Amino acid sequence: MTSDSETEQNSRSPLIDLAILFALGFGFIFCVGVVAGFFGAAADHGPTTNDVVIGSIILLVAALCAWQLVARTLRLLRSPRERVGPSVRKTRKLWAFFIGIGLLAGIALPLVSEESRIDGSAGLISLLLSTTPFSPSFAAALLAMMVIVTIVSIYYYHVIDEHDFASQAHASLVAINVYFIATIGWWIAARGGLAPQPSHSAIFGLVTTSWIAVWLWRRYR
Amino acid sequence: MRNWSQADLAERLDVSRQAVNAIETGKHDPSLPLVFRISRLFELPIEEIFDDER
Repeated sequence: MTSDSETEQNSRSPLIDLAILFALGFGFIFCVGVVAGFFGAAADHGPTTNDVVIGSIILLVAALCAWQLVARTLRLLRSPRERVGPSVRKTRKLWAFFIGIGLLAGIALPLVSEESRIDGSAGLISLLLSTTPFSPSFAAALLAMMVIVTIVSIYYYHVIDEHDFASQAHASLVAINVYFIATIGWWIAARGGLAPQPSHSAIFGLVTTSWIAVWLWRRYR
Repeated sequence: MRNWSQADLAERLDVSRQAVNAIETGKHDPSLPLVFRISRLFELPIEEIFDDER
């Protein structure tokens, strides 16, 4: 249907752009968590020279990640290399919204979590898997954010094109099967003394990872 | 047929470039409404654009 040489003209796969954005976002949130830990520890025990130097370096890395994240996202949104239709433009704006919300929650979580104040070394993963309480008002804010994200997600599924929808449907099918297998298999293994008690967070991570992996594979293969 | 790029066609059909690529490479079967849109855009009958024996 289209000219044969076109595919080669788009030199870099969007997957690479997405991977870079994901790495920058993850790095930024990780750095914010570590910096929060350093400042928390400094506030509790009095700042040492090491705290200040290492905290400042990590703060600098966080700032670099944030700058690159914003610059690359804006460049991608304004990219002149590919004209797009209204639906694709809306989809990209919705992705920017989802990334923004994710970053906001990712930054807020280490800042309000007690673990990050212990020695400054609590990683992002341990913060996300944590079950220690935080304030009811913060929980209410996160729940309100979830409601908004859910409503926007419903709109998102009406905006995306049919190929993306098919990719998401395939990913959902795989994810629900991963969920069944992981939940039931782990429960059986735990009852048989072959594994520790099932972890909801680990299963959530497994399901989410498999869903994202299949969606990206189907969409960009 | 028109010497359009995948991005050009995607913009005209209001789908992503990945969707056009997937249709061209046989990795995605387009819906009937999209098939009609493609047919109208190229001003050709459906069977001249799509090969059902692939």
